[in-house]
Amino acid sequence: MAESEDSFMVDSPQELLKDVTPGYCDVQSFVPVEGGYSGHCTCGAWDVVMPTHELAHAAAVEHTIEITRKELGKRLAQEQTG
Amino acid sequence: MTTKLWANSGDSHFIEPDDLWSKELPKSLVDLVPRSVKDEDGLWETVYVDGQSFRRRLPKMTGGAKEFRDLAQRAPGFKDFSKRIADQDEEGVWAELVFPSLGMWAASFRTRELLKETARITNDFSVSEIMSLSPRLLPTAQISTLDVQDAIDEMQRCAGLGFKSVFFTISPHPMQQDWQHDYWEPLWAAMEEAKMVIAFHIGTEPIDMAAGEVIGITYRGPGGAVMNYTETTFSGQRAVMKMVASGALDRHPDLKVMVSEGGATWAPFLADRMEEGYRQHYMTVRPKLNRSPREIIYSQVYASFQHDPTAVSACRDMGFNNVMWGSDYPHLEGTYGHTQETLHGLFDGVDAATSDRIRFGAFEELFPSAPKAPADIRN
Repeated sequence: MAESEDSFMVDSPQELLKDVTPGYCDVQSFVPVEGGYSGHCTCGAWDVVMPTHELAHAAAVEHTIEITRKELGKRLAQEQTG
Repeated sequence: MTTKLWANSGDSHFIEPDDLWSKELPKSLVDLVPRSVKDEDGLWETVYVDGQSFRRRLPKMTGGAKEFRDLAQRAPGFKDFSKRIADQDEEGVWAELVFPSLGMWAASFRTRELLKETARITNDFSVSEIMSLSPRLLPTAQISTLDVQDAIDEMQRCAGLGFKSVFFTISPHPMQQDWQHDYWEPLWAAMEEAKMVIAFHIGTEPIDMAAGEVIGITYRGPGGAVMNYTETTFSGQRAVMKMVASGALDRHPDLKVMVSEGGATWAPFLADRMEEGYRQHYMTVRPKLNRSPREIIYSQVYASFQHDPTAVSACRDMGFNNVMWGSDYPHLEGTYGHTQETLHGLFDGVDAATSDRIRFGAFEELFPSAPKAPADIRN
């Protein structure tokens, strides 16, 4: 898998999953099913079926919007304080 | 000055080039290989694997996370194969069984043609880029386990190319039958005939995202991380249990199995448990075995470990001679950078015969064509 400066190299499924904390929104999976894509989250509280992968992905973005906002805010604060 | 200890490694890896598969696959398959696309916010990435995908929160590359990445890539031969032998000479590792890294994703593929082609491409790469470096490097072949005839065809091609073993995921492909089923019998027969070793590696359970609400996670809550890691070691034991109880190894006494990175003391334990089960439930046991589970395990199953302090005892005190050491190079969990400390910690004070058997003998028995370590380093 292509690696970049700001992401881990991921060499195997197990390596990717080792940083997942069950019960938290660390990973959402999307699996093709009849009628679209089934989405699940490692928090255990988010399950959807959407007609396309794009819509399932958008739903995952919405599901994790609070985490994203908090993290972006934290990083902004860190940048401002140097 | 402390004597340098050398050992063969029954568990090493190579890191595939990023474009290994994409540059050779036909266009229709390129989009199916693992690839990663970041969200616009840079906080998440979505990993695509053959029609399935998952979106994960990216670790921040600062502090401990950055240190982790740097550590994981610290060996000069991490991706530059020309430096690999120098790394091993420095560490004190002689011959190595070399597993893939990215190839461990293969069992999460669902498309038969994709699995066949990626295996073929990787095997050809292993011949040209790894085998050619030194006869000390024994890469494992990769095969598709979506179809038994595909598996046989590629295994036989690889035997002709000089491979001595085939990498097997601990569990078969989610869309295929488990190892104890007769479906695989033609493959076991063909492997026995070709003298190819079955090389299971722990932690390679296919991720079947369709199977559960939480991918690859067995436990939640307190202790989950350690429990989930520990679970991966049990799978190697289960694979051996299936091969023994189903009669596969009994029917093919020249077929050898190894489990890499899963410790070693489990083998005598498993032999005890299976012996007890076979004896206590003999009337209902099917199939009947011509040899006892213990006899089969002790003669056809090998196990590699890297740090486990009790592994030496499995060989010295429990009569299970098929114990091999392994470095797990260049993976982070491996011994690169502290191999000498590890080997001395394990073998100082251990009798010479046991030490030699674990560091060299078991590996040489399993892979007799591998070059023997010179006498002057075989201390």
